[in-house]
Amino acid sequence: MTRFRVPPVHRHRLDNGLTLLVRPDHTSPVVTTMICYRVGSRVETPGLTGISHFLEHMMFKGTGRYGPGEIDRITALHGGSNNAFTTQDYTAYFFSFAADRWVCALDIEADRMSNNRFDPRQFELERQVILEESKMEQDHPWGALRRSVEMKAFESHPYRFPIIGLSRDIQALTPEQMLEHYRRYYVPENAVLAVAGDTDPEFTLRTVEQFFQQTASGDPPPVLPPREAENRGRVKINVRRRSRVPRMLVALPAPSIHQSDHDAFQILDRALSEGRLSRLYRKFVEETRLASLVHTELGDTFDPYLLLIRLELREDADLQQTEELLFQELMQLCTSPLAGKELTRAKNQCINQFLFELETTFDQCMQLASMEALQRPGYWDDYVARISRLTAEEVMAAAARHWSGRRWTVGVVESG
Amino acid sequence: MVLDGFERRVWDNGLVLLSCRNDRLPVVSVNAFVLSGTGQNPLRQPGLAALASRMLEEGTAKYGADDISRLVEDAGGNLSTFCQHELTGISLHLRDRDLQEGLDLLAQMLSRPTFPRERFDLEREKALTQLEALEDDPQVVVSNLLNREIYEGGPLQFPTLGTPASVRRFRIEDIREFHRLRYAPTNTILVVVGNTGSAQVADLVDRCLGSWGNGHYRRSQPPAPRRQRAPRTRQRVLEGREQVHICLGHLGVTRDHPDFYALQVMDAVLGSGPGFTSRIPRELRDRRGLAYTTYSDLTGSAGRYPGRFFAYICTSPSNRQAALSGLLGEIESFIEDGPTEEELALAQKYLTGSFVFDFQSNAHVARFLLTAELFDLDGDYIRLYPEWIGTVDAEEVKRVARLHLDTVNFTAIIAGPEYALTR
Repeated sequence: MTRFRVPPVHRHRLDNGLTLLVRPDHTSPVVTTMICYRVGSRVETPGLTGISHFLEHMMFKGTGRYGPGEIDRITALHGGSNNAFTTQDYTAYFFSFAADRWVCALDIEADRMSNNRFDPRQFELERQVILEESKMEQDHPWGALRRSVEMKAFESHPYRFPIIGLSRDIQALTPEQMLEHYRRYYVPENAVLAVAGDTDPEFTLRTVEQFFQQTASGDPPPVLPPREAENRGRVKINVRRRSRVPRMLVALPAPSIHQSDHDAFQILDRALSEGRLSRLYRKFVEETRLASLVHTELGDTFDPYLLLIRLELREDADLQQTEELLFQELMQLCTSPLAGKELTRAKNQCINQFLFELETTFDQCMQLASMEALQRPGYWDDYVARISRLTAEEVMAAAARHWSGRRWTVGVVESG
Repeated sequence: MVLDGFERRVWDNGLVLLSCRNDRLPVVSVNAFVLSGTGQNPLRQPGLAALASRMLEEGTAKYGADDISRLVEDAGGNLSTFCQHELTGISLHLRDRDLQEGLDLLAQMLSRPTFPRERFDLEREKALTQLEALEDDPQVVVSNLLNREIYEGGPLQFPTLGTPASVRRFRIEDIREFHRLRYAPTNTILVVVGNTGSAQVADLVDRCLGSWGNGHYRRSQPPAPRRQRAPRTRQRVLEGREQVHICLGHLGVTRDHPDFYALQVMDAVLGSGPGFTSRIPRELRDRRGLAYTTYSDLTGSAGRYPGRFFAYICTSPSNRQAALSGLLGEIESFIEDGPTEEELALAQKYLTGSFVFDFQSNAHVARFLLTAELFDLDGDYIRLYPEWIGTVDAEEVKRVARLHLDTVNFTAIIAGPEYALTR
């Protein structure tokens, strides 16, 4: 990284508490905006699961100034795209437009931050849409398995609930409950707005102030302090589902974005499954031929969450043998440091991924807004240096800290 | 626009190189497109082109399978091969400092693969398991069932990976023969986009592939599929599933069809506009709450071979009839009435305004350059595209809808739990 410096980010905090991050990038005449509210399934309680995700849907269903469907219509009229998603910790809304017309995104975001409507008829229609989304998720080859594993992996942390919510909760939610949720969390102080692309930082700041200065600060949202990992002991579940091949999903404890071990886990994630030289690919696809696919997924979360390992297995694969081999591979990472080449490879993979994500304004907004929403400002500023500094011993120690108790959840769908 | 440094070069052996400089980041996207894909599979060998493309990673005259992995992964790069109807591709995303090694590897994979027998057995086993695994995904199942009807009698009727029976029958000699007949410089387009100069790329390509010969290459065109002449319905039981998946479709058009741009406008109005602005998602999702996912598309699959019209919805079994008749009803009323002036203007503004997003990343630019090369879109295309879209009027959209959409002679695929299919 001698020739390249990460482009600077201009950071401001408006008087009403809204955090603004601007990354000028004049490569293409486009601008992406992404606003994140620090609210997701982490703040949800039994009976109200899915309310954050449901609210995300309702944010397109009419505001004081925009009727139902208007936000999409205006987006199309300006040749742009928009969408939204909900995570465990935050809810994100984004627009991408050509650089000469992106400001309409600010007008929409400012309006729906405080003037969203919850028309009962729209609410009922959207409830049906979300119930269909939930069923679709369940019909996905990994959907039911993932839901079951997550629910078993935690004792009481809200991360155990599906982000989309439990169907019985979705069916029972009322517009009044949602309005309360909206008023509590959709305030400037609980939001971060990232803007990346072909725009000038000064102009962007002035324009954001112009649109958002009228938005009242509101009461600060409730503070939920970080919670410790509380994974159960070893749990095994067998999910009954029609399947042509067996699938295994293993959830292991993983650090939060606030724990220093998170960097080491990025290395572990790559060493386990990125590429054909990775440990699990070699063991399960090449050597034993038990699986045709291995995949790991490490989340960026506020509280400690999970590293998920997926194995798509051959029809005749021995599940007990698979689990035992997986255990051996993971224990090896806890007791022997990665070889020098393996560590360098994983570091290069992390750093290149970071660089590739700088190619589009959307990915740049994702990087900036998500880390700010997770209260890790400046995360990317020294990312390359942090990853470069890691030693094999540090990676091994991180694995041992989180995995040595074998507190993992194993979910299986058998074929048949 | 990143296309400013664009250069095109053709070698005596027919190899085409398209390159573009983008010096903002120290990365580069290197791509090879061989214009032989699923459409070139012998009828009795579905899956051959896909398996051949996967086997490119398994060894070359200079590099063993592990050497290839080390070259790419140690440098933190991404290597992938893929197979579509009309082409096979290799994509390599790298740091700029690794370009020389990357291009050398790509050249080896294209021109001197060794197809080692022991690696072939592994790849074939993987393909067999993946074929089974894909059967668990309802959206893949209905898409494959529709292709079987639309492309009946030709190689495109089969899934890209083939069938379990065909994959089991393959021998390594089949793969070698496919490569011998189909991989050749005159059938290949290289596209390099990123932080590198055109002269440097041309020099590297010259060294790696300048003397690649055309050998036994044979051009081949699959038989042209024909539009069905009678309606068909196919049902598939998906036991234990929560939803029923419905798709309606028929043969579409090629990318060079004179109606292509009017059909893009039609698509944006009917079923593939942004958000829920087009009719099908607006009516069936937003106004009736029948589904989370519903859309239609005709031009997205148009290529050198005809694509397909594909309208899709997945919903609870109790909504089956409403979803089916709703989907069909939207298509019928669109054919009957065409777009309103407001819908037309919205679609045109969307298409012309969003064109700029085709050039964001190196991979986006590479895809655009390939399309321009395949369909003779010259230097004026970027300037003319808004004009072509902007001059389509409502009557034109109605005309192409009547000509290219068929609500009588189409195929309906319905897949879901048994009780949802028997009515």
